[in-house]
Amino acid sequence: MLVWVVRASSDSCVHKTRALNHETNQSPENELINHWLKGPFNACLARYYFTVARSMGSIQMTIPAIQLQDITLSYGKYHVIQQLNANINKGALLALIGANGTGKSTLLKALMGELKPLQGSIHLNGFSHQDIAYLPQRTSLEQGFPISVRDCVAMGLWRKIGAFGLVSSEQQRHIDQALETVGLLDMSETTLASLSGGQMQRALFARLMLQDAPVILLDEPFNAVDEQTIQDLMALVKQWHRQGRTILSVLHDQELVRHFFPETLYLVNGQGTLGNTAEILKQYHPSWAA
Amino acid sequence: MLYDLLFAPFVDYTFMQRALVGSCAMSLGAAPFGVFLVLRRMSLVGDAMAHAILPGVAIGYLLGGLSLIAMTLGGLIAGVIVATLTSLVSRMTRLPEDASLAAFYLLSLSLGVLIISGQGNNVDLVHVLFGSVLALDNAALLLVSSITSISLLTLAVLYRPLVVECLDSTYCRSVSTFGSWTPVIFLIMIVLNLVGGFHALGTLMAVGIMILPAVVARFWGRQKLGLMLVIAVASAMLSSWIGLLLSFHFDLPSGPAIILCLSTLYVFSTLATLFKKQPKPLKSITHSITSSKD
Repeated sequence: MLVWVVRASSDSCVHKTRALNHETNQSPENELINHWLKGPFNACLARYYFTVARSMGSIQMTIPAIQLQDITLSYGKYHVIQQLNANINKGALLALIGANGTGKSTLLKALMGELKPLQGSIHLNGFSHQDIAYLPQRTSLEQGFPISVRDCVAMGLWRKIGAFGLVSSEQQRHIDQALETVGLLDMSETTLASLSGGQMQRALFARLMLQDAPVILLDEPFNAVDEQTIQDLMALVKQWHRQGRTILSVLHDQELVRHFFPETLYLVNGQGTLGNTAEILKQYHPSWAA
Repeated sequence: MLYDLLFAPFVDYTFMQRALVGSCAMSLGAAPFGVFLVLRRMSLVGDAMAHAILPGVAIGYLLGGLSLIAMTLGGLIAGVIVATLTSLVSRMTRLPEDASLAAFYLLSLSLGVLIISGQGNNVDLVHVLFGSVLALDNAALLLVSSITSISLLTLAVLYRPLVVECLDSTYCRSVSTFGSWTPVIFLIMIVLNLVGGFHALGTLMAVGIMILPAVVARFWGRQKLGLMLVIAVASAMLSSWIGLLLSFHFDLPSGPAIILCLSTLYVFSTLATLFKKQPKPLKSITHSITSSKD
């Protein structure tokens, strides 16, 4: 019976925990206990419930990988995001949605460490900015640069080989594997300029694979890409999710958000709401809800 | 006959040997950086920076006459100051970087010409603006060769970050703290090569041996960076050799003759590209990701 109480409550508690984490530095479990069951006796009882439940494997405590605490992001005097609080759990597959200009890419830049918050702070738990793999919008890439697809993909090994290291034969095999996974092995010696938009995106996903990062940020990864490529690349995203990586993706496609992303951070007027995708869409984006 | 036409001037005259060594050294140092300038769509930045070094050279001339060290240091400092100011102004105001660069280089050029005209004579002004590759002395040769050596060493160290930065600057900054410094070091190397080049070709022509070979290489490089670098250096050296010969046989000013040879290569490359066959279309991908390994 005790286990049933914890099981039934754990899902709703996860969201409460996220909302609370920014206020104190306590563990999610302690915060949950203190908040959920007020009073010393009830807290004691709840602690016992959790001990029993955890030992039976019935609940999994969520650990925030990224904590955004009251962050304000701005360009000059223009505040793009104001006092945003959100906890992004380790292993989350999160869609970042909102109209143009609501600060989706700006938030990714802040997570990358490229843009410092005007106020507030960003806590990365257990990793640094350099452990984040980032897929920029394709407009930031100079596709006319004279380099082969293979060399472009090999750039994903930067953190392992640095500016001067040589690519080992094992790493060459990893490059081959990445190219094969995205279906570009036959075109590995082709120049980037020859690739179509979708093929270019496949190459960049192969580069992400080689980066082997615990956190992956994707900025509009499926814009102007054909349906087959979206399916192939989404299969990769799901694979990364199963591997326990934390993934944030800026998206404008309602179908993708609804079907593949369990959590959503919705940005509007400088504010953000994080939660279950179905609930967020129902509440803030009814036209996208099923 | 062919020997007299092509080789004898360099065998018989020391000033021609110095000019050839100097211009080849410049080709080796400046042309590869020119390739990266062109690939970064910054060709006109090179031109602007070449003009920007003029007031520094003029102040060096004012303090030390036609002293090699004074003019070189002056040019280097002026170039770095203009590059820094340009970057600062574009960050602190809404003015785009190319617009602030254009404003600063015009300011620099007019200031430089004013200083030299006020204190020197027309011969000095022509020397600074157009250089004198046939009058390179040992000190000037040593300077140009040193700059070339520094450039090649820096390029060897900077090659990978520079490639990554040119292709995807956001990615470069995300994977390496060194990435933020790459454009700064790159710009300093551009200024250094322009300062070295101005002794031989003048401030107005020095950028020619940097940009034109890179443009030619863009036509013939077959989208391979290594090949482009080789073609750029080779075309700059070839033009130096032919330009000096034309200058010798037809009594032409040597600097403009070298740059005109490079321009001829550019025109030829453009025409050749216009008549080149179109490449075959690439096959499309029908692959699906099915073999996912967790």
